[in-house]
Amino acid sequence: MNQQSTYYNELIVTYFAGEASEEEIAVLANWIKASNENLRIFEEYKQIWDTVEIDKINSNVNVDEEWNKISSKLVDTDNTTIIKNNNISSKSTPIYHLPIFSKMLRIAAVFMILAVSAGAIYYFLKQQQPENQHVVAQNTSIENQLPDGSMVTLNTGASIDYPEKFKKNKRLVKLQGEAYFNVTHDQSKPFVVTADDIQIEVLGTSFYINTQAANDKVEVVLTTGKIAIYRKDKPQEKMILESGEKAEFSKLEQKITKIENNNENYMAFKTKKMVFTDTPLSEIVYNLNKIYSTNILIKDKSIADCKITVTFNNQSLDAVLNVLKATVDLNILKSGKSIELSGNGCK
Amino acid sequence: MLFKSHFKGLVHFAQKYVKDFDTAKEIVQDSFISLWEKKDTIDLSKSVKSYLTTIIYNKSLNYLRDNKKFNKEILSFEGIYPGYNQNPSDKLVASEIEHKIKRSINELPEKCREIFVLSRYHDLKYQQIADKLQISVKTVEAQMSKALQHMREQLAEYTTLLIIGIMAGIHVINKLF
Repeated sequence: MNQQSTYYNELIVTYFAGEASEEEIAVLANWIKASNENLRIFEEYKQIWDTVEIDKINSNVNVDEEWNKISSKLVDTDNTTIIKNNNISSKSTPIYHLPIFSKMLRIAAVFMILAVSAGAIYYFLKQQQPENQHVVAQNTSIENQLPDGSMVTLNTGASIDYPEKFKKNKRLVKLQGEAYFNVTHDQSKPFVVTADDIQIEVLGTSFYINTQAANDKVEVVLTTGKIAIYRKDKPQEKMILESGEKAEFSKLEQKITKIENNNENYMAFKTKKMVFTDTPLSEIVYNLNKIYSTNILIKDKSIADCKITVTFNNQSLDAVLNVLKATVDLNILKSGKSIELSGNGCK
Repeated sequence: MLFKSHFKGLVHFAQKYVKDFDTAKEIVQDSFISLWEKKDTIDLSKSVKSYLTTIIYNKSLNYLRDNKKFNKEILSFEGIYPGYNQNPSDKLVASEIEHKIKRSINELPEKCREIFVLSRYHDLKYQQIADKLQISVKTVEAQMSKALQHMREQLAEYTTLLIIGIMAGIHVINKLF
């Protein structure tokens, strides 16, 4: 590390420690402004510093103690005794002695906010609306290429929205349903998927999302790389997922949790690779219906619970049914759009 | 209770501006007191939290101005000026990164760690640490920088991901205004 960068590293730390002088702060601000790399370094320090502060506040602040400190003052004021606040608050209180002025300020502030949000809405509408793409997988799963070369496989019923051309700084898409993403790497342009109330942010990786998983959940499974997941309204609270990990978001509790991925077949709708180990026929049929967009029905209850161990590797539906037929001794009857399975108990 | 559920989050909010733990606590307490004094004149059906946040924001900026530490450029680099994200969380959630930070603090050389802990967890000023340990303020500065440098290296992979989000945010805001 050269001398100059040592100087600025020290200056950043001095600043966050509240020890920097007015001149030093100005020097630091100019340095940050000088390049994106400098801003990035500053951000890194800020992130670490912030986390240390949260940890400190969590372990050092005793809320009951703090309450005792001020509760006596609160009683005093209630008895209309005037209390002398310390210098910090008395310096800023004058604002509040001018109720009319403050009211006007508040009204002005409201108009400001309205004006700004109107501007923001206009900006976003203008940016996004005219060139939006909407792709739906109606009867079968489909593969679709996004403007940046990333691939998305939508399972039947899923849909995706994205602009014809991605913005300069971000690749934003919106997903509904079940999909598998294979995102091309672009360090300077994070790829962000909005899925229900959460967002998944990546640079380049492959992962699975289902916004309509059982029990009102959104599921995310990461195949390779690293992704960040967060609630749309709390982008600062990120959960990092690494290869092979799974997270689910409960729409009811509005909570993201990391859980173990015990479903090997999560991406079967894309690969048509399925592994079943001692799995009841009913569950296999459920999966086949999802993956092949079929309507297979089990006619005899006696076969529904038959346990089967089998692996399928991108086979046609007929081939799959033939394997099942041989394993459990099934009768298969195709009638119109549905396929009926019947038999006499397990083999 | 309002105080107990919001206190920590608000202290963290104030701390981001004033960079001094005791001042941050004082500002939050004063804000609760002025909320109490005004309880008859303000509309309590509106969010009390946003009222408190506004008071704290103003007091924090006043503190910076009074102490000649106000620089709006740097606050905007930190993403906290003009206070667009005024919604401190009630609970300060322990993130994954927090464990990593604790571990990397433990890995610091002894003297470096001592100085870091005195500064961040005991809230001593650089001068106080220097006096206590019989070293110069310059040494304290250098050791603090060393500590953060180490943590930054240890946490590089985490921070980049988090920062991409922040930078993208700043970019969008710059574009908007």
